[in-house]
Amino acid sequence: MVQRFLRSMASTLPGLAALAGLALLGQWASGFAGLPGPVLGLAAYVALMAAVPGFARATQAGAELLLKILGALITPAAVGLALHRNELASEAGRLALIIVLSTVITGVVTAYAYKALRRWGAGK
Amino acid sequence: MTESLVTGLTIVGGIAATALAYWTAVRISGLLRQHPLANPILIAALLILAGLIVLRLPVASYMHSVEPLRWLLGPATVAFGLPIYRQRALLLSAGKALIGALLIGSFTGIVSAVALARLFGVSTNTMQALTTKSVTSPFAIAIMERVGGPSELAAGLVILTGLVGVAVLPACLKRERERDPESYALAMGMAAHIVGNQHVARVAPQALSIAGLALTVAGLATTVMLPLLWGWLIG
Repeated sequence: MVQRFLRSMASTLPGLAALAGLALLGQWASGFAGLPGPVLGLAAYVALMAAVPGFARATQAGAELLLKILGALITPAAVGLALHRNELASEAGRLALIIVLSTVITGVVTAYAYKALRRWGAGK
Repeated sequence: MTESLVTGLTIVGGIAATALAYWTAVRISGLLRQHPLANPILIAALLILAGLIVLRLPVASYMHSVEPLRWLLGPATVAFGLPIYRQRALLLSAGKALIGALLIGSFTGIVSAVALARLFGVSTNTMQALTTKSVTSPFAIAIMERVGGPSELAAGLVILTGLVGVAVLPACLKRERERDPESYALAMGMAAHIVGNQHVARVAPQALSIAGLALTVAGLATTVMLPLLWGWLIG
């Protein structure tokens, strides 16, 4: 069992190393491009997988692992909300209303925009 | 020497506590049949806060101890390239309508949040954090670090938005849910990101790939759009 665990961890290493390298590369490039470094790294990752299909196979275990533990990586940010508790407490009612209304508007507009664009595309 | 040992142990303790809290939260969420309000991130955060209160430890020192987890958010954001690559056929076939709708949705998400924030008069800090409420947390943090906004507040509001989205959108898009799962999944992925994806996996699994694509493309669209709109919206 330990051996299987070690083998599965080892299979994630090339992917983790490649993704860390791409994130660093993106960070470096963000100075010129004006976009967040990790997002530039993401674009480079997609381009590399499209150019070299073997790259997707070699890195997928690492990428899947990171996506699987994403919730744990985000948890500290949710805990960090407590640092803003005074500010949030004074705005709680208004903030709730803004989030509800804006989320409904965004979801409904997206669904209807997709329907309209799909119909328009089919009719062309 | 002693100081670096204490720092090392604090980091190990913070990361281990986060891993344990998240593992417990996933199990609790499973026991509650993944109810939208039983979000593992929310439960894990509440467990950690309860632990900090019991142990009388300040939140700021916990945040300092888990800094290495924040470094991993960069590679985790890059990893979103994998679902995009896997869904490239869908992206090409649904193409213009899908991307067009997500661009409109991203713009609507940003502008509606700022307009409502101005209407209801919240602080500038909160208004800045609200601009990324419709993208998943790693994107929100990356964008906030880029534009100089409050990243922790933004990431927290992202999670609240996801919970609100799965609580209210199903009632607003009832007809789409029954007759047009593609539009429904796109709207849920756009407006409620990861929590919306989890909801689509349960109620319309045939359209899950659309919701996953919406989550990532919306993150990319907001990343490009927001820095361009920042001065106009926030200034």
